Amino acid sequence: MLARRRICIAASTSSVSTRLIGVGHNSNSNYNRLSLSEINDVNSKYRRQFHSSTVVSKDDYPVHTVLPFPALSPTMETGTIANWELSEGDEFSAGSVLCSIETDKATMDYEAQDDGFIAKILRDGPDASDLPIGTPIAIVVEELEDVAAFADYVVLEDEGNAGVGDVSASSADAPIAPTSGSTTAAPVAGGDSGTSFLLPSARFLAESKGLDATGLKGSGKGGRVTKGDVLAAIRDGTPMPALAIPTGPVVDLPLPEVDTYGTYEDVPNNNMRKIVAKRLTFSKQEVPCTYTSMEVELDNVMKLRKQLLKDHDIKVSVNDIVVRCSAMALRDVPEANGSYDPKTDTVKLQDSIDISIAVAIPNGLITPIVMNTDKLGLTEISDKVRDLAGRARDGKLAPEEYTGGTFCISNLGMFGIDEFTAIVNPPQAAILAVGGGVKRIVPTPYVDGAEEQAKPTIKTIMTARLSSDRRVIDEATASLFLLAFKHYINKPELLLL
Amino acid sequence: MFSTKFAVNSLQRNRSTAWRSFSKTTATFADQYDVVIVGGGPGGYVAAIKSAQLGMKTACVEMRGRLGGTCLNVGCIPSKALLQSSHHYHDAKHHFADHGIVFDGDLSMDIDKMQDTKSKTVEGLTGGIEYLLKKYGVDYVKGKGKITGPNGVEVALTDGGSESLDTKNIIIASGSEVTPLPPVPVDNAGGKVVDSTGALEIGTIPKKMAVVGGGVIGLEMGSVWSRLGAEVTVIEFLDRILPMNDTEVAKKFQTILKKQGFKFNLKTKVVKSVVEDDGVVLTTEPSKGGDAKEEKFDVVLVSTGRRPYTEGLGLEDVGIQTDKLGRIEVDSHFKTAVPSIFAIGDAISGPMLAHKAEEEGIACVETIAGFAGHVCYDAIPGVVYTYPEVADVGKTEEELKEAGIAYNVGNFPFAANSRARANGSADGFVKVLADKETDKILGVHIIGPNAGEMIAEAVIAIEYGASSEDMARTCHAHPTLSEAFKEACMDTYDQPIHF
Repeated sequence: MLARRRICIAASTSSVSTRLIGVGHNSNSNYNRLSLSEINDVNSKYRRQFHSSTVVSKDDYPVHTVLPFPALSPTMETGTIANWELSEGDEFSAGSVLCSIETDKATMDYEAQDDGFIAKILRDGPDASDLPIGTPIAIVVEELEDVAAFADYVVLEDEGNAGVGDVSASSADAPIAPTSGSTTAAPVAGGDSGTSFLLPSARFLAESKGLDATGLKGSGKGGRVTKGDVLAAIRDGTPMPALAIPTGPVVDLPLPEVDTYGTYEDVPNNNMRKIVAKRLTFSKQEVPCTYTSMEVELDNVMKLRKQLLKDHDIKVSVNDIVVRCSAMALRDVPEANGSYDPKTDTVKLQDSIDISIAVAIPNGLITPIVMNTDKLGLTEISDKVRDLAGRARDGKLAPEEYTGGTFCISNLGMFGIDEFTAIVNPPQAAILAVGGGVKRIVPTPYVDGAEEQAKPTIKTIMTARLSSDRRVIDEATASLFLLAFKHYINKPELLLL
Repeated sequence: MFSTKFAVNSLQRNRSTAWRSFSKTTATFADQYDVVIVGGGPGGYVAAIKSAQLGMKTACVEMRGRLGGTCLNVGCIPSKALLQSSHHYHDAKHHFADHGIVFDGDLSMDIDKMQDTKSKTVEGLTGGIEYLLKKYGVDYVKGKGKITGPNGVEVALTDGGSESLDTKNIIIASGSEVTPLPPVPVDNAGGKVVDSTGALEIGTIPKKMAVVGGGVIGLEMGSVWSRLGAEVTVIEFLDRILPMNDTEVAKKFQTILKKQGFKFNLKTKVVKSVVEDDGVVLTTEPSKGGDAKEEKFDVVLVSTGRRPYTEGLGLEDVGIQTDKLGRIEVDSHFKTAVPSIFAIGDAISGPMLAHKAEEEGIACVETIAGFAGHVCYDAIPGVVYTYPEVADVGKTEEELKEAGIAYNVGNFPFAANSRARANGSADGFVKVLADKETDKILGVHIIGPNAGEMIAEAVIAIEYGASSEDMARTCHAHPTLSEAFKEACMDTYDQPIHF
């Protein structure tokens, strides 16, 4: 019977999957990702790099400590090593400065905690820019003899690049970064890309999530992957690799000759400018701002200054007086001294009046704070501001001196600006922008029934514009503040009260 | 006494030796067959052709005198021919004017010609099957077959005499017959109380026709004569027509039939019938019992069901069991209690459909040939060839509810389908049932023009385990009726565009 059978193909409709294994079955990870086992293995060299603890030598290296890039301020996420104060082989003791680190706000010294010798500097020069916190920057040893052993020490490739977690994070955590495009539902710890056929809905679902579902076992006829299979895989956390975006042939197009208007130069932003840019963008996007202006008369202030200088040899700037008037105004209108907390949608009225003064420095702008301004006299304010501005220009401000503040003042009078608008610095609620004094002809009040109206006078007028966070300060409060401010600055003798 | 016992014993001994010699195959006849198929209907002849294509020596035994079984001779084909003719007439009479076709006088129907065309169609097809059997080298044995043993079929030839077939395997494909309804005995020759066979031969259009049994056959035959002018009353024991279909579909279809002029007496049973010269008087009662009613009809069609036909096959002698409905008991590979005897089609359990028998025939033969034959019973469509047609595949809503399966429903009416509207016939809708979690299509139900063709797409979807989104993401030509299926699928997993 069988001998006479012609060759036939079984017309089976069984749904046993007969997935081909061949092209695309790639078990080699292209993804530069460390596997969990590699990271968690105590003996693994990867694990060692993520600690800053002293390790007993496992490889050929003697006992040493890997120094991680430190977080010098609570908000610091990245920074640059501006300069190494020591070289390899140098000895240091607790308190010596190892290197200077440039942050978003200032340049600071990184001081050693213990005594030791620098065995190897891992990050220097161009390698030392924009380092995330925790990046290993140096190897230190306790004995001079051990220094030589690290002469050829090379940082392993994945170290700097594989998003090292915060030093503050638990050392047992293994960072597994999700690929771009995958949702939180799909862990992507290296699955297989296979050759299963995807039904249209399965393909749509997987690809919309940036996943490659061809490695799944399909429950459809002939092993086809169905929508249900993909849904189940996502729900159960079955690994699916990221969708490989096919890159077409790279075409080397000749760049066209661009006839630009003259030459130009790209100036990269330093850290400070980057932070300023980020924060002010946030301010403009998230903070609803209102602007209220008031013109004030500076004549009495000028008289007072002249008097102080002539009679008492005391130098007080217009800005110092502006600061003191603002402090008094804030004392009188405490609603203007507030802050908005977006997390809880509440307005907090601050206890103290700490005024930040905007200071232009060579690499950007910084706002050092005069604490408890309302309790300081004019000379104290003057001294403080001078000291802060000086140190700001030298980049020697401590973090607590420029972080915080409840109110900000920006004065562009010295540049000849008549009036301008400043941008609120959250979480502060307001910023006062004052221009310079401008001599103007001001009419005197009309007296009804007078024989002759008084002649107009010339006054020095300064425009003060308050930019305020509308969530905290409404227009009435802003007006009240400016009225108070004008009240004091028009008649500075009131500052005595 | 003593001698009788002795005779019986020796008979038994002889019988057993006879059996043994049979299986050793020194048969007097031509070579032993690999497969002998008893029955030449859709199950039988398809199995025969497939068997021969697979290289097996095959014989097909048929007693009717023509191949094609019930389907070709007194079932599917003639009814579809009549349905087509009557549909043309009805369309011409009632809808041609809409298309601007004007004719003088009245349209009339020549029943004889209609029957003649039907007969020619049937003849052509049955002749075609004979030709196919010859083409593929199947031995067509005309006569009534009887199984004489695990490897023997005895045929009482139509032309006289008998033939013994020695075979390795036997496939029973003897089909089914009309189930009689005792209060209404069928007399096809008399032409007043008929079954489906007789209904196909009606010579004059009845004025009043009763259809006892609101299933597929009754509704189809009722449709034929209703279109030609008869007043058709459907008498059904249950509270609904089409008991195997989805309830919503059955209800909506009943409304459509009512619009076409059908009358329905549901929850009614027939208790008596009296044949008179000019008609039949039926006495009916509510199904649960109650007051009797009498009504006179010109013709009564009895279509309360069909039952397997295994008479004279000799099943008991070989030890093959049938259940209380008369169906031969088989395992999942169509094997009966006797390893070399198989059974398929209407003779076993499952929907009594020609295409189901065909699938089983092929699967059975493939199993015999050593392959993995398989029938997917979840993906067998059912069609009612009325107008509009009713087609379905997979589960009904009731079945899903009973099984506790959570599902989504998608609906799309043909009134919103451009092609149906352009054709001027937009009755009906498409309903898709899909698993709530995985969106896998579990059932599709269609009332509409061409539903029988459209359902094929749904069958493929179910076979391939597709989800409604897959079908929705498949391009369908425009303007076609099949777009209604696509849109119903869109409604299932998301939203339709055209409704």
